[in-house]
Amino acid sequence: MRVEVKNLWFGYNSTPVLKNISIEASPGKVTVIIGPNGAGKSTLLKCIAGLLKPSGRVLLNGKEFRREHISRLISYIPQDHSIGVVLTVFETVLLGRINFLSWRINKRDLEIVMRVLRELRIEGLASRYISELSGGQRQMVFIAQALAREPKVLLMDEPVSNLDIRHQLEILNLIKKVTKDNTMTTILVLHDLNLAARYADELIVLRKGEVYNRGNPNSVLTEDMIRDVYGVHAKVGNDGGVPQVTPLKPLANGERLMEWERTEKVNTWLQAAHLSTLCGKDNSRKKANTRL
Amino acid sequence: MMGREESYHRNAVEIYRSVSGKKSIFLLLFTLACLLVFITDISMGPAWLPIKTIFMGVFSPESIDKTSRVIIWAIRLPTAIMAVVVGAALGIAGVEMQTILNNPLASPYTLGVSAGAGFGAALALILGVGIVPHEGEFFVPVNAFFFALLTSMGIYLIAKIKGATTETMVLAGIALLFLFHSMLALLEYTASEEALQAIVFWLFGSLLKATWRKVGITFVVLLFVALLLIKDAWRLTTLRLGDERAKSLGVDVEKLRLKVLILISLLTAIAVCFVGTIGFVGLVGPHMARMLVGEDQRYLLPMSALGGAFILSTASLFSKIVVPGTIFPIGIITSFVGVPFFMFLILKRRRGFW
Amino acid sequence: MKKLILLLVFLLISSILSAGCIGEKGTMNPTENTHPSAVTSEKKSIVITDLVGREVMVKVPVERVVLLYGLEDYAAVGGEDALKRLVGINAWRYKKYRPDWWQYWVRNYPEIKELPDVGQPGKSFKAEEVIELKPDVVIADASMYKYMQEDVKRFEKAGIPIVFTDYFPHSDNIDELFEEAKRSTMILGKLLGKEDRAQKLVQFFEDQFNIVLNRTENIKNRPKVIVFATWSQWRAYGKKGMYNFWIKLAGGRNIAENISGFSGDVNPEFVIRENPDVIVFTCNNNFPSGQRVAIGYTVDNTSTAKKALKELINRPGWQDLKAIQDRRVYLIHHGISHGHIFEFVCLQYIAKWLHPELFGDLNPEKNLKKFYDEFMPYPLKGIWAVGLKDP
Repeated sequence: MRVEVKNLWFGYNSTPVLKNISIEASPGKVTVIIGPNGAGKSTLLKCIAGLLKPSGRVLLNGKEFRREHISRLISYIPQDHSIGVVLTVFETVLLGRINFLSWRINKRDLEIVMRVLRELRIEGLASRYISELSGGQRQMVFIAQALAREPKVLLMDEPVSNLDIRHQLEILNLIKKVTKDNTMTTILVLHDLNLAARYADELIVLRKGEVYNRGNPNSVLTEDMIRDVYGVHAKVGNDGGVPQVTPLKPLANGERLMEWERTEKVNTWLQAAHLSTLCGKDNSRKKANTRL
Repeated sequence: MMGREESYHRNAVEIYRSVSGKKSIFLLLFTLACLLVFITDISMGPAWLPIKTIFMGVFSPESIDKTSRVIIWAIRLPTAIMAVVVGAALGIAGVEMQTILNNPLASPYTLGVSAGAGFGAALALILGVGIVPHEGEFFVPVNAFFFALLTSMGIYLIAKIKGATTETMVLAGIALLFLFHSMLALLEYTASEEALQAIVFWLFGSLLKATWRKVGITFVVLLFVALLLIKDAWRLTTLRLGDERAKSLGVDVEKLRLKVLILISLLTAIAVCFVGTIGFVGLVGPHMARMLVGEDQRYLLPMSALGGAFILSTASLFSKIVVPGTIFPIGIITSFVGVPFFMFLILKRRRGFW
Repeated sequence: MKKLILLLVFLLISSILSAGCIGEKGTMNPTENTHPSAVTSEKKSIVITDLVGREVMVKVPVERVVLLYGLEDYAAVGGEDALKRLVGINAWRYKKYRPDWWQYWVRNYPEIKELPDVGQPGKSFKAEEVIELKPDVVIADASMYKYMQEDVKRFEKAGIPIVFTDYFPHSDNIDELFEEAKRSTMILGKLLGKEDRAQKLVQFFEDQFNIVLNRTENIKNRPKVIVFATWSQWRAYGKKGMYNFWIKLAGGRNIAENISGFSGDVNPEFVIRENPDVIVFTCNNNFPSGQRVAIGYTVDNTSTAKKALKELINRPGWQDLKAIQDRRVYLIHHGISHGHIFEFVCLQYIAKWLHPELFGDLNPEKNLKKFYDEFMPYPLKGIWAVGLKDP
């Protein structure tokens, strides 16, 4: 299912976090959002998942859906805040079938849960409590829960950030595989640029709430981009067709300040334009911003 | 292809059974335990009726003498059933309060429901001011009920305006709790000594106030609320995964919270208004249930009800036998039974049990 | 002759002056009080051993009194004159515990209402206000002592004596009770300079008790009785409750005696099993629920009390109880049951209810009236005990 985001704006208490975002993601492909902390990556994901109400449009196969329908099409897995809930792995995955569950659990739901557990090779954990699992195992369980919903779109917020290298690779391989197998549209938020380069079919770079650039990893992951977006000097090599990022040193203060001024001016202008559409009544604020 | 589907199915059923079979056994065991305690409860009493008389009295009341009949039907049965029903009500209210507030320390009284009820009761006992101009059996309960619900509605409104997050609800609850506590203190200051004793006694909680009509009303409300909650069992289970996960699973978290708040307020108010604030049952019952069957609400909900019923029934039994011929205050017994048990749970708990 | 008249005038003036002087001095120096013309304002220091066992030095007779408990006993010993010596009172306790008594006091002596309310020890007590009132003595009840440890020390520092009396029955040992009441009454007598009257009162107290005790001393037939409070349905007076002592002394058996404390809840079926011969309810004049006034100073007929009794006995299985069938159900004012010199009337009522045949000639109300006529500054009024059989 094709995901399109058009002219999306979002702000907390009229401080814009996302500014005029327009992106696309296609079925069977892994789209990865990267960007520094505070760029608005998680917020964008929540907007697509229907958990936040932005202005602008989120289209699935060209159509807009209401919130309760979105949850049947999209699986969203938030960042793991270790939760201590007394549920077994089986029950947790079963909850993915919530829209179909009644007091008695029917055969089809059981089968789906079982299939997913098997696909992810975690049948052995089925009767364990999720509070007893390691971080990697727990992430697997929530991926299983998401898959059990047979979603058209899978959204994951930093699925591997707290895991060791082996689990990182395993999980990302798995995501890649299920995306292809089920022709899902998968959108991930990742911090690690090399992992992003390796697993993304499409990269989206966010910087201060705006799309800085998007495209295939080779075209997007450049030394210029890393300097502009992250404020870091880096060397980008090539490892068998995949870009290889080696960070060198952060930009000196003087460089950073220039950088900041340049972008900040544009931002302020955009912000004012946005506010005048969103909070048109708030005259004082509008004036203050345009004066800048 | 067919064979593969079959094998999925077989494994799935096996695992599902292994997960839920144990829980069903716990449910069954606790049902039996409750039944056993209940039977012991109606068998015990200073009149020392033989078991045979009790059974005959229960099943064919006409066949026994009048005094035994009165003892069984007017005293023992209403009290014993009230213990079960109120225990179950407090267990359910407790577990759902813990669920919607995502807080292990929550109990049916957390959001000031008991403070509201206490104030309502005091108003009736001290000033003779009733919401419904009626004297007798329901004068104090109706007042207590009204103010208990009023408290919940206050929290409901605040949550509705500011969003039904756990923080908003707990803060609103604390604010109302203090408000009612200070209003109660003000009333107590003006109260005569006898009215004061009556309030203290009322707040303490006692099953001696049980009558068939009260048992009936409480039971009907319990049934109504339990059925509505059971309908939402799966959605309630997802709440414990955190708001975001629940929302992404398509659960309207805030709407569910408010709905459950209303239901358990109703349940708590009805229980509290008839027997006063009996502590610990609504806190320990749910924890006991969670230890045994986990958080699948299809099991957790009935198990909490059974846990609450079991504790209060046991307490009712003990309150009769501690000093023969007297009724030891049940609130003291639930605490005496509850605190060591609670300590045990804390020491024995597995990683991740809150 | 002129000289003689002059001398007489001089003597007269000097004696008047010196009387005044010695009166003034006497408060400072209690040993110098031998002048014959200073009798009315004579003060001497005495040491009183009070009812909590403290030795207190007080200059008597006292002129300024702060009274924390027992206005009735105080007035019974001191009469109307003693009321004029009050400079502060614990009105808080009266208003809460005995609202009808307070109303009656205020109606007869409106000036009592104007006295500073110093509050109830342990609840609303204002020790500073007491010290500011500069009383010659503070009179309190022994039950207040445990709340007043700090206050007592402060009073001692301020040179204000505080004396504890005690009229509460602590067991069914009548000699102890007699001793306690005698000592308390004599303390009041000494403080107020009315020892003769105190002596008479003690005698009256003992006589009234003996009317009952003489006949019940070796009684074999002990009817079963239970005394319920009215603020909670099954609250009965247990082993340490005063009703238990009166029941024992009156020749009965309290079926709720296995409640080890003052009061507790009885099991409803226990009452049915025990099948008491007599059931007594006790209350102040206000019922907790509905605020009905059934009994006490302010009540002049028995109809409310009887209506209340009928409601109180409407409980499952009670219609077959002996007490109900024989209509031996009574309501008594809690205030006359303990803690005052007229508590004998409670014993008399209970004795009469338990053994009507033995006490046919006993009229507790008449004896209470006699007490009022002889010792109280105002007459007895109101309804104090009501039976279901009463007209």
